[in-house]
Order: sequence, then structure tokens, then C-alpha cells
Amino acid sequence: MTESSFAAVDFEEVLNRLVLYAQSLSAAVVCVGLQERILPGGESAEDLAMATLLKFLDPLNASVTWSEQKAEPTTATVVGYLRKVLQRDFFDLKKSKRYRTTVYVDAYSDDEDEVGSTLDQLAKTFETPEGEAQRRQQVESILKQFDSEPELKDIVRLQLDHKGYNAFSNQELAKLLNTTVADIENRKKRIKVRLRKLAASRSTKEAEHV
Amino acid sequence: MSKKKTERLLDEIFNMAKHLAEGDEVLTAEEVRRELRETGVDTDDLKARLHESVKQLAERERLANRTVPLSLKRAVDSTRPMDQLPNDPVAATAFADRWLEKFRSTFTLPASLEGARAYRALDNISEPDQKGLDDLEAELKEKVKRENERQT
Repeated sequence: MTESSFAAVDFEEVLNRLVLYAQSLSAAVVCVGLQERILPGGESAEDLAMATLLKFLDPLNASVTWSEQKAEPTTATVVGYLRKVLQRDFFDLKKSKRYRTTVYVDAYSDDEDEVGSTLDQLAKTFETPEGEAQRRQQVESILKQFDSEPELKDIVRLQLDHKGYNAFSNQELAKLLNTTVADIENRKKRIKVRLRKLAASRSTKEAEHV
Repeated sequence: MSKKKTERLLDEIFNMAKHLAEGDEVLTAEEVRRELRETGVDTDDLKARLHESVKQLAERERLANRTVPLSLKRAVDSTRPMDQLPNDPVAATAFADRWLEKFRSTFTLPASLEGARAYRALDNISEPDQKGLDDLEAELKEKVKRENERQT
């Protein structure tokens, strides 16, 4: 079996696309009502993406490899594969105790009452009245960030509602909001950038505690 | 606490992320860079960091007398700064070809350049379009500023 050449892979582009995906995951964590803490492998989406890619490229790390049985890799197929790895690592570390202790180094102890909480602990309130109240609070705090752009608010509200984000097509939204589909697409793009920025800023703020 | 609850929360995060990442696949490499810059990511610095890391991994393998895998070699080459030509003539030619390809693939002249200028001067431009044009203008100014700083 011959080794894949990777000639069709642009690793700079792979990294950039992974960062974009890590930002989406990070923004999603904030959107579902959790306070973003810190990402595995560092403080930002860039660190997580970099750690994932280096795990793939490091010959001494056999946990993430390109099987020789697979077709010759391209930028797109490597991105597709590594997005899955990144997502798995993101969730694993969010669930693990290590995630919490990585964040709160100063406050670390073996007590269960330590500062910060794992995703499992945060999930306890998921789908409970308490959790719903927390979530509404979170949604309101996110919506506040859009005060200066009222034309985005209705769409943001829908996007933050798990029942809402697939409820309307862009055509339906355009009709409802009396505008064009192109304008809806543009608004959604602006929202996406704002949410990613918001997640990044929260991550940085939390990192200051470390 | 049931494991199912955590899984449902993860599913929701995943679906939301998928929703937020919608349309990212169709972005060109340059558009991806632009999106990242909009969120405050320095893509040049990111590339330089990756290059440094993969170079160190390759160096470690060489020092240990192990063969450097093609994926790692390719990663070193595809993140190499423009002013560092590889010593090997074949690799240098491939590097130069890729460098030229970047110009060919990203330089796309707008079809109606004059129209765009006239559009900019209109009063009845929509707010999102206005913002888009302002962003482009700011980006261009920033680019020119960076170029000037690099030259001085």
C-alpha cells in the first residue's frame, strides 16, 4: 500500500476552515444557554483547530490518521474528517472533569463543589423550568448585543430557539419581514459573525480567570 | 442525572453549530480568511504558527532518523512563508507554481466596476448594502495601511 501524497491538500485552508467550525461550536454553546468557558488545548477556536490538525500531522500520535484504504485526500475530505475529530474532542473535553480544571486552575481541588461545572452538570438543568429560565436569561443577554441592529433581532430570536431555527425558509422569512431573500441571507451572515465574535469575547473574558 | 439528557444537550449544540456553519462549505479560501478576519482572527499569524509547529515536528522526526511522512512535508510546504523558497529545485518549482496559482485564483476583476462606483454614490442604498460597502472600504484601507507599514 502506498502512502497518500497529500499533494491536493492545502493545510492552511484546512486550518482556517477548522477554526471557522470551532467558532460555530463555540457560538452554539453560548446560544443554547451555557456560558462559554475555554476551549480544549488553549483559549480560543484557533487553539482547538490547531490542536486537532497537529494531532493529525504528528507521526507519533496514532489517534487521528488518514487510512491508506481511503481515497487520495483533498482539502475538502481532510476538513470533513477533522471536523468530526474536532467536534468529538470539543464535546469530550467539555464533558470531562479536566475541562473544568483546565479553566479554573487557581480554584482546583478534588471537591465536587469546586468552582465551575462540567457540561454534564450543566445538563442537569436542561429541559427543567430552572434551565428554561436560565436559557431565557441567556437569550435576552444575547439579544441585547443586537440593540444597535434591530433589523437582526427577530431573526436572532428565531435562531436561538431550537424549535425556531429550522422553522422558516429564507423565502418565508423574507415574506414575513417584507424584504428580499438576499437581504435575509445578508442579515443571517451578519448574525453569524456577531455570534462568533460574542463567543470569542466570552472565551477571552473567562480565560482571564486562569 | 440521565446520560440521555447530556446527549440531548450535545445534540442541540451540534445542531445549532451545524446551523451556524451553514453555507461555510461553499466559501472560497479567500472568503474563509475574510470571515475569520471579521471575527478578529489574524490569519497570517495563524499560518505562521502552524508553519512553525509542523517544522518542529518534521525536525524532530529527522533528528530521530525517522522518515518524515508526506502529510507533514506537505504541511510544511503549504504553510511556508512566501520569502522562504525550498532548497530542493523540484520543491521550489512546485512552491513557485502554487504561489502563482494563488494570484490566478483570487484575483477576479469585478464584472461591472464602474457600476459599483455609481451604486456607491446613490442615496437610496439599503442599510445592509451600505454596511457591506463600508466594510469593504475599511478592509481596503486597512490593507493599504498594512502594505505601507510593511514597505517603510
